[in-house]
Amino acid sequence: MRIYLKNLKTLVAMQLREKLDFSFLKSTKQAILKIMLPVFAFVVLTVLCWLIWHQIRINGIFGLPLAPNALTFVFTVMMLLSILFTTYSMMKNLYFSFDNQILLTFPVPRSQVFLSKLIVYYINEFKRSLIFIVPIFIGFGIANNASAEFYLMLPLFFLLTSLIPVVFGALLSIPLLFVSLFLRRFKVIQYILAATAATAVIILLFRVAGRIPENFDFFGSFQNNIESIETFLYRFSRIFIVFDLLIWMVSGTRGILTNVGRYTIRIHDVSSSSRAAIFFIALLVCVILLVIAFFIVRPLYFMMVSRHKENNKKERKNQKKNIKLNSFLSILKKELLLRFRTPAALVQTLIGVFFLPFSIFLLNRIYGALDTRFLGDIVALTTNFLLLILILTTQHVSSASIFSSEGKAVYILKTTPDTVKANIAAKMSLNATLSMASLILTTAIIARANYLPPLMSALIFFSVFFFAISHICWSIEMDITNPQYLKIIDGVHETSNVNETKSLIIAVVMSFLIAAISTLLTLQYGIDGAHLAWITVFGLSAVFMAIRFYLLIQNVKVYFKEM
Amino acid sequence: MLGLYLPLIFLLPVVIAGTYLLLKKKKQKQIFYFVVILLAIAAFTTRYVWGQNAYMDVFGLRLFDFGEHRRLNENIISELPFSIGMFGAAMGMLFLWLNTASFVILVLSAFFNIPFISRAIVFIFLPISLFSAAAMPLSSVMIEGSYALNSFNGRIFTHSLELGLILSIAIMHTVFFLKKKRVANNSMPLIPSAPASASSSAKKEWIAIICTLPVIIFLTMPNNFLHVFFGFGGEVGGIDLSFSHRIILYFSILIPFGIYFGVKKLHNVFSFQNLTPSPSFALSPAFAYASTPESNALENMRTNKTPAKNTSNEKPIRDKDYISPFTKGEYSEFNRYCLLFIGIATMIVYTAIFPFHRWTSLGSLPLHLCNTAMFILPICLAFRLKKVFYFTFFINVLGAFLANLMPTYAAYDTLSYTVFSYWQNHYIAFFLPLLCVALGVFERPNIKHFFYSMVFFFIYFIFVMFVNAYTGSDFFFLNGYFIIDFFPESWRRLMDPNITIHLTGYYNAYGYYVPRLMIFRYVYLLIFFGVFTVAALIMWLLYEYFFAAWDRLRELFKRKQRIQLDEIALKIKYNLKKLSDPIDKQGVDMLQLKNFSKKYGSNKSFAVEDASLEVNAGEIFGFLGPNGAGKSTIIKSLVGLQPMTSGQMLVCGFDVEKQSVETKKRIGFVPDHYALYERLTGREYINYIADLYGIEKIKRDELLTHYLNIFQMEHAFDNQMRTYSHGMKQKIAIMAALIHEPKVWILDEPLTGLDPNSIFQVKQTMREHADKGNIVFFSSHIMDVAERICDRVAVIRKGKIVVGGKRISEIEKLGISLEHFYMFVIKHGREPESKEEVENEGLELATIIN
Repeated sequence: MRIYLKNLKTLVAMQLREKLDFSFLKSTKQAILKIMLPVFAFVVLTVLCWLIWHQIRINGIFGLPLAPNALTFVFTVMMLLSILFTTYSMMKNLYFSFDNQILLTFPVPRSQVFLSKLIVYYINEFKRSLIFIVPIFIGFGIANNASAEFYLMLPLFFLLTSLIPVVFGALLSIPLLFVSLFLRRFKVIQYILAATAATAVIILLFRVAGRIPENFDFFGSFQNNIESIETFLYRFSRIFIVFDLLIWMVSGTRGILTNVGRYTIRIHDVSSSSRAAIFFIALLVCVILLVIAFFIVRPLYFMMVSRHKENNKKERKNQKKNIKLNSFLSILKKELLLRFRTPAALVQTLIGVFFLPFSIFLLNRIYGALDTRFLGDIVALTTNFLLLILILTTQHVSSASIFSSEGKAVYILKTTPDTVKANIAAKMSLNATLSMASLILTTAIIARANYLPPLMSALIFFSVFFFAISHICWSIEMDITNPQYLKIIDGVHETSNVNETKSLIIAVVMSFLIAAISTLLTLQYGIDGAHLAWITVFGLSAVFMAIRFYLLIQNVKVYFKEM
Repeated sequence: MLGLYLPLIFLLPVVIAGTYLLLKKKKQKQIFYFVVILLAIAAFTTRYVWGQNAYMDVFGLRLFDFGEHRRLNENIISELPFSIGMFGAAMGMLFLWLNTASFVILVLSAFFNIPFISRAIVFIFLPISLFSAAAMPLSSVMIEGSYALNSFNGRIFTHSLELGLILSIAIMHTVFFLKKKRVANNSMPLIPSAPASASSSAKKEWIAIICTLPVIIFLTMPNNFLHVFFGFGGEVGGIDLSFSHRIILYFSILIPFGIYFGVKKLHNVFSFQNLTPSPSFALSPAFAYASTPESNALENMRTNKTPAKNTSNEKPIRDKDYISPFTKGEYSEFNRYCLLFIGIATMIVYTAIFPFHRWTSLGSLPLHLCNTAMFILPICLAFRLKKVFYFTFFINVLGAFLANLMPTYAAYDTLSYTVFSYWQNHYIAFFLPLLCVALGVFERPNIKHFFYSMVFFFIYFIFVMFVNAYTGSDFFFLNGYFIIDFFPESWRRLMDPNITIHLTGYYNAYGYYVPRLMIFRYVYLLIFFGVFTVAALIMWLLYEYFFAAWDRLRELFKRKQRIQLDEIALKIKYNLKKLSDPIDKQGVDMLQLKNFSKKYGSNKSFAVEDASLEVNAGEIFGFLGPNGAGKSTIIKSLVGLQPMTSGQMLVCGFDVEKQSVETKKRIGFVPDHYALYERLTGREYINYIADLYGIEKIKRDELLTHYLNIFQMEHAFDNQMRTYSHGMKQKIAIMAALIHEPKVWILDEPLTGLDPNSIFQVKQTMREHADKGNIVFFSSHIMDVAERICDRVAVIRKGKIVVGGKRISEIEKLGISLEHFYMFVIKHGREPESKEEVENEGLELATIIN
């Protein structure tokens, strides 16, 4: 047993060391920064959550008083999402991870490798809870004047709830793996399923957004709306009673739906014995599920890990033909093939194309529900503009590692004669084309929602497009002047890529600045001169794009050799 | 009227006589000149601030024009018959203006020695001074009205003195200039290039004068000039981004760029006049990196070194002992001179709205934040007061920018002095500090400078607080409603300064307890101060960002210029018609390393030092060495993966560093760790590489068929490469390197991890490639293979090539294996001389001596 535990500890420590870098402890300054910054971020996040809960409580948006049902809602949504993502990532990590090739060769039982991975996942899940979910709870507690017991229960609560996604992930990853292997064999079914799921999700999202009523006077029928929300929260809590019970455990209160007087939710205390019972039952259930998962996987783990590595090689009887293309088209073809053959990249691309139009559609449905005057119309339009540029530019943050992401294959770029410009042109064209597709759809939505004339729609379209291209050029420039491909080769990039971070910051700052300028100009020119404001914005975007493009070319000429 | 000229008549001969007498006495001459300057400053200042100028009541060169124009304040207007008429008024105004320009130029000439300014004084400002003196009656009327001509007037007397002194200075300066020119002309026959040099210098100076004269004149334009000449220009609104306001705002951003580049250009034109080589000489065959001043100059430009000081016998016309004891005579003062001129000229113009009586009242002083900049900046520039300067850099710039965005004047005439002064003040406060740093007059700020600026801001803040309390003014808008209006009503009542200032008893009119009001008031002031401090901090961050961006941009264009100069130098050195011609025509069938060295980063030691090799066509060349010896360093530098530190590498006669495109066309590279796009099929990958090299389809089909046959890859060629084994992937990498039939094929440890079948196939391909007359250059650890396949080998040890191209046959003649030969070389750092020497080592051969 001692040896078993010692081996388990070694396996866990090895995997954690790979994910957590403690080298900063060697330098006092770095240690302070690495520790202080997350603490500072935690504090800021907590304060933000408190302010939001405080505002919700004052305005009674989730009912008065603020019932724990609201917390149940938030917690349940986060847990469900966590379970979904954890299941998928656990499947990848347990059965497809490269480190299995090393771990499985160790003189330890395979089930121990499985267990060590679960422990690592649990630790990461706990860490994630600490960063994202704990501030929400603390904010709720402060806003709701929670007792000291609430805060004392929090560590226990999170120790327990961090187990839930891991347990469910471990259990669900098994059937998910088989489904995944099945789909791999029958690619046609995979594509049909993916297309169907994507279409269904898109339609569902647009339908949900479309249900937002027009001329919705939220504040006029405030009381009715609050009651509806309270009822919804209560019913939601009943459906997800498991999570509600956990909230009872930590908050020591529960909300009961009544129809007495103005308030529809009454808050009752939960006894300590009930809370203790909930805790132990939940713990027991998790342990049982874990044991079940362990015993199911134990005989199957090795088979499941090795199955996907067996390649079904098909011998082709008819040889394909060679095709000659110029450098630009060849690189473009390569990028397209890689993107469409890599599921993660494909999903990201599709999300990128549809996320923007959907966001704008939702925003305009909300605006449509509000009764606005001239200033409101201006704000609505410029918010659309802000969101448009913000989403579009942040989607292309990966341009800041356009060459570095090649990793070892960057040597092809450096040893082939003068293909840099073709590379940049091809990669930019791909990003620009995808952006354009998304942008055309989005501009049409904005134009329809805001009754914009064709000239203004065109001006907005081209302004956003030029700004997006400028940002792409700027990001590529970062990669050329400060390449990160060595870090990517060493695998360091997963924790930090300075260029992508910088590109993201620039995208955010740029978006807000441009939106502010367009707002000012629109306000100055007034209703009759709005098109002049957009002509100015268009002019600025064209000039900015020209400057950034010129600087990119100069940087390529000067710095590419030193990359 | 003759009385007006009396001071001038008496003064001028005295000054001229004094100048003549002291011409030969250098020190006294300098002091005399300086004293005259001081007197001129005193006279000018006295006249300028004496009182309000009569021309303030002139609108469109007319008075009493009630029909069309609206007067600002009719109470000012009294009976001022202007008997000089409209033309006289125009001339008077014009000469006042030009006189101010002459004054500033001449005063500064005592402290700075700028080449073209002396010429401008002689040919432009001396005539202006003469005409100004002659037109004194006209300018006097514009200052004091017609009363100036009727009786003795102290101000006009001072004005006469001022004109006389200015004229005297101009004459003295001219005398000195002409004397120097005569001395220079007399020494010309001794210097062959001197006539051409002097004529070219004069031409440049005239061009500089023509370019700068409009700027000089514009900067000294009186703030009433537009109103006097053009009259009423229409009302302007208050805080509003109207069209005209926006245009003025855009100019406020464009003007500093114009000044910056203008000053830089002038500075460069005059500092390089002795160093630029003539183009015809630079291109001649004789210019083959011989150490001539011209080639050194080109080399200096190329490598961005500071040009050497002029060591020839020819003394430039500008020298240290010119006129004033304060003149440093250093050309680096040029930027400071330009900015000081702007500061002083605009300060003088601005001060017109502050006649003497305003200086005696505390509440009338120019104590607004931006007002202070008009005075602080020239003082800081004149006396190099760093600590005070950064106060303007952080605080004034911010304040001026906000003021530009939100002008607080309302319903004034567009051309009036109020509007003109407003914009002039805020332009200068905004861009002059920025130009001071941009042009290097003051260094870029650090934390210490920021601290100084906060200290001075604090002092200013406290001072202004007390002045406001004492005089009831609203300096820095501390007592104004401008900012308080942003707060809610309940807060405004508590912060209202008028409530807090006019106190009676313990409660004010609103029933608020006074001490509580005082606390609230001071908290408000503290917040006000804090907000400005935070804003200054943000300014600093913005400055840092812009400095970094500017430095990057400058570095970019410097490097670009260096690359272009390198290309020119290469063409000249090797007499190439175009860069795609080989620099070594004898080496078109060779791979050469000439004293190649490489250092990584800031390491002091070399990874490879002074490596030289030659590989000929038709050879398979083995490059051997232990781990970390430098094999991969050489290979990576050869294929263009990293730059070299020094030396030269030639592939088929092309320089790897300077003709990288041509060398890459001729190299095929197989790295030690292949990096393939695993989601592509083998065919797709090879076609991709072939497209990058522009290989035609027919050739491509032929080669692919051939290599697929050798490597037996037909069955898997159309599968994704992630399904391939290690050996298959390596073969794909080899095919990719050969698809364009390179003249030089470089392989870095190509046989690692391959099965015997694959090794055989690779060896066969290498032999075949070499037999076609190509070069195969590969590094390996497997001695047996190297022995069997290589024609020659080189051995590298600790960054140095110990054996540079030994034939295998020669090693075999020694009677030892390549393995033993290699082990001996690595151990001893030299070749063995005999078989016995190797045999005697026995098992100790494997021990490496450090």
